[in-house]
Amino acid sequence: MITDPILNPPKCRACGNAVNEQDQFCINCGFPLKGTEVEQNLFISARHFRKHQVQELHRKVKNAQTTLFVLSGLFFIVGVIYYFIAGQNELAFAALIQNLILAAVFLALGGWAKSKPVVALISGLVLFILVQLISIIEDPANIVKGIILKVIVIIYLVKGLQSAIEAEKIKKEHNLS
Amino acid sequence: MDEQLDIPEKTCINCGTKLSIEARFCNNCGFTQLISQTYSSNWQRTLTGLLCFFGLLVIICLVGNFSGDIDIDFLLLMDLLFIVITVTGAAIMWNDIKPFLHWKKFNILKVTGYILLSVSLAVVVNIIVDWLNKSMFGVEVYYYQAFEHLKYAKLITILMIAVQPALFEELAFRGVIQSGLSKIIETQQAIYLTAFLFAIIHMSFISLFWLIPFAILLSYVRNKENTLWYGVLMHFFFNATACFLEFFKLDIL
Repeated sequence: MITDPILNPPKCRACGNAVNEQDQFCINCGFPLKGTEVEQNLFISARHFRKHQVQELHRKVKNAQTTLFVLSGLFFIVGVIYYFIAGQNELAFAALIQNLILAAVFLALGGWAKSKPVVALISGLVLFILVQLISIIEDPANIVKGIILKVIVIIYLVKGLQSAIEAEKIKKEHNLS
Repeated sequence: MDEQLDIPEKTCINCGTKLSIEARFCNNCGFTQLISQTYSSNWQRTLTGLLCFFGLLVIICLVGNFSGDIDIDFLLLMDLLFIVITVTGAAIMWNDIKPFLHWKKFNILKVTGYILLSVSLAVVVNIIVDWLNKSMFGVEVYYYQAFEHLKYAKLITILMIAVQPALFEELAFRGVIQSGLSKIIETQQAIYLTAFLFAIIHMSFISLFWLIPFAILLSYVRNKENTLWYGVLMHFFFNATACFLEFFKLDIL
């Protein structure tokens, strides 16, 4: 390869970062600049695979984010319906306000999950479990009400959280954007 | 996070070659220089530990809040359990918490400022909450009711509502949880998550609208001043103001 080092500094084939002629490896992504063809190709395919892996993990994070939005919607709808069924008294009004605030909090967490998935999903999961615990203490029969839905919500949030942690780990270690 | 990136001169953690600060991989052996707390098994262990700590506090608060009739011995027992768990957590994380127990730059102006801020916040919050309670739910709620039959009722109210939470909630949240989280996530995120956990442990979702902002303020001050004591004072004066407003309304000041 003949390149003018000033006008056209050599670039890493894997990440496009400018590299020094004497470097054995790219300091930005670890690409073996002086490696054999096989080593270089292996590196590039591994990097592609990791990018794909991260995308796959992001899909699960996205599902968890959607779960937060769905929870927000559910608290809103259930709160409003309950208020009208329960006879619009003071107690029902307190429950309505409580459900609306929870809906707002889950909505905010869902929005936050886009930029900071780990923290937002931990918050959402903890809050959801706490809400369930309180409702069980208020009436132990609540433990079976909508149990399937509750378990699904927890599974989605936990999977999303694990994926978010895993994705950050891979991205950090291999300096993927 | 990523403390390796902050060290002005660094060497490869695998082969010892001198590297530029921004090198993410060694230019000699290709070894990654990005192994940070995110990678180590410590990361998940710290997170799990903190969530367990928080879980224990939640259980105590759940039992305390929903046990039906309030009895002073029972409340004391719950407070004692809260204190024991908090102190145990602080002992486990002693090295991380110790710097925050010092109060190096004591500044009387700042102290006054923060106290005035939390007293005025407490007054505003109490006016709003009273208005909400009266106009929407037609009820008035007093902490004092739990203690009024006791000797030294006012003193006990202040101790249970203002002194104990100011010391031990601060140690538990701004101490154990915020210090632990700061080790594993970005400082800013640690502030928000600590504040969120602190707000929801109060078990009153309607109160979240003022609890979350106040909690962010406390976490932010702890981070800015690098000490727990401003937070302790603010927390104490916030809660004490609420108590005195009650005494005033009940005409027993």
